[in-house]
Amino acid sequence: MDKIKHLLIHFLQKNSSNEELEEMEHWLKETANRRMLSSYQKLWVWSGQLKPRKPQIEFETIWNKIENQRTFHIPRHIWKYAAVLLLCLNIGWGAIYLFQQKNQSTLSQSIEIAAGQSANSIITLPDQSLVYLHPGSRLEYDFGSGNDSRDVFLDGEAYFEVEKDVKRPFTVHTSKADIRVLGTKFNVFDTRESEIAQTTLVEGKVEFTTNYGKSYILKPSQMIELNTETKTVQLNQVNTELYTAWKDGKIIFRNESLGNIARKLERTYHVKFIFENPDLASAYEFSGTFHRETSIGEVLQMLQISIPMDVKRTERFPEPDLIYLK
Amino acid sequence: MVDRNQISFQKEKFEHIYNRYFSFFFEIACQFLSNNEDAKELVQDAFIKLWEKEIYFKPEQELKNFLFILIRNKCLNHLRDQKKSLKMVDSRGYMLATINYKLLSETGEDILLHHELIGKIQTAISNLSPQCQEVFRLSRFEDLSNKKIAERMDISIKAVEANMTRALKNIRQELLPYLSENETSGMSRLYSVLASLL
Repeated sequence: MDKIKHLLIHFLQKNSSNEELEEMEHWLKETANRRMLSSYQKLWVWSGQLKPRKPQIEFETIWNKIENQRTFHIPRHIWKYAAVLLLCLNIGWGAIYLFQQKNQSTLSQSIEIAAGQSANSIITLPDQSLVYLHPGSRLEYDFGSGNDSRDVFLDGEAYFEVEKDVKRPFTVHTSKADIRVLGTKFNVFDTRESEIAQTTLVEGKVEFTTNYGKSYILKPSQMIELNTETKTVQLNQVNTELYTAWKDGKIIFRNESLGNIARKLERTYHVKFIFENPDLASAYEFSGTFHRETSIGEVLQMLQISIPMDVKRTERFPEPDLIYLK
Repeated sequence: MVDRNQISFQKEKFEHIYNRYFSFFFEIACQFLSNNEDAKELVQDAFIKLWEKEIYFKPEQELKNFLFILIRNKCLNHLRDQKKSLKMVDSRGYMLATINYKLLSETGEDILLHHELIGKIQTAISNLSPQCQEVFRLSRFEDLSNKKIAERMDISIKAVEANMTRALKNIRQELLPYLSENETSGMSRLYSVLASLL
């Protein structure tokens, strides 16, 4: 342990020997170790701010740089108008559509809920379980007849907080898999169009069964991903926050390619991305956290600052806007 | 076309932001890049973007988040380039870039809590034993090497390192509630900590 402490200190002081660096690299393979070092780094950065003589660069140096660059500087007021417009549109789409269908042949009552295009829908099921429904997703449930099970049908993405009831297992049915639970918190993603089905477990225990009958048990912080095209299943340890942040209105990117980011944004905003230069989709990685209230205009603006690209947007209301990237 | 007064007002606002945040973000960039000149250039560029995009008028929390996104991505790109170019040439540089890339990509927005937590850090430092405090100050604030500290305080290098270890351990212990060492990621942590400080 002492040795580790010395490794840490030398690393922070930036005078590790080559051997120490090698040891460090090995030691950092453990997530818990990386977190620990990360804490020390934060403390190091923070405490550095108490230095009586901080490294400063005179404001004039940077101002001169700006003056030299500013030959044709056009303020981008246009973005502000775009943001306001988008905000108005978002409010319009925020509604939830509720359809109640009475099934004539049996007495059971099937209820279908479709989330709006832009806002999350939060639904309390008859058993008091909570469901956050991602925009553009559909959920159907039938708790009416028979009391031995709870079944819901999902197309899209939802986060579940299921009330414990040992006598009545809760099952989420999707196009590619069934997820059976007792009482737990987890996220499910599976749209009919996509070849991927994902389930991320936050708490408790779930059983994931593919539609060809293979079962997997998930432990907390595990994410299972089924790809029906390559017929592969991957079970990984993940930071669940990345998969569930959407329910709190956050969009988190961690070293993600522009292609992935575009796909995520399409599911959150009413837009469609077109890559005019196909290489662009994989050429850059980006990290950042946005709130859903951030307009797509502002999100694009941020992306554009980090990634050199041209962005053009065509409005097609009520169809999704097209965003061309080059 | 553009009013002179308006420009000077904007400049003043921008200068205020610059003076308030430059050294903090410079410190972050230095932590992850091996060359301080690169770090300086990179953070300057980020501030120039802040001016160009007229983002310096936004609320501070948003501004900090914006600068952090910008600087982290710039640093990550820089480290990635370094990893590529140093791979066969400079094994130490390559190793440093690899480690720092990994660490930075997992560093969350909670590093921005500095302004909220600085008082607590100050208290934590002043709670250290006098010798421990002196060693920490010389290392952190005067940038002295452990060897120099040992000479100046007339103690062994071993004792210096033991004191540094103790100093960091104690400071971490006092700040532990604000460090996200568990699953919750940066942003939610950030907000819960901000809420607890209010």
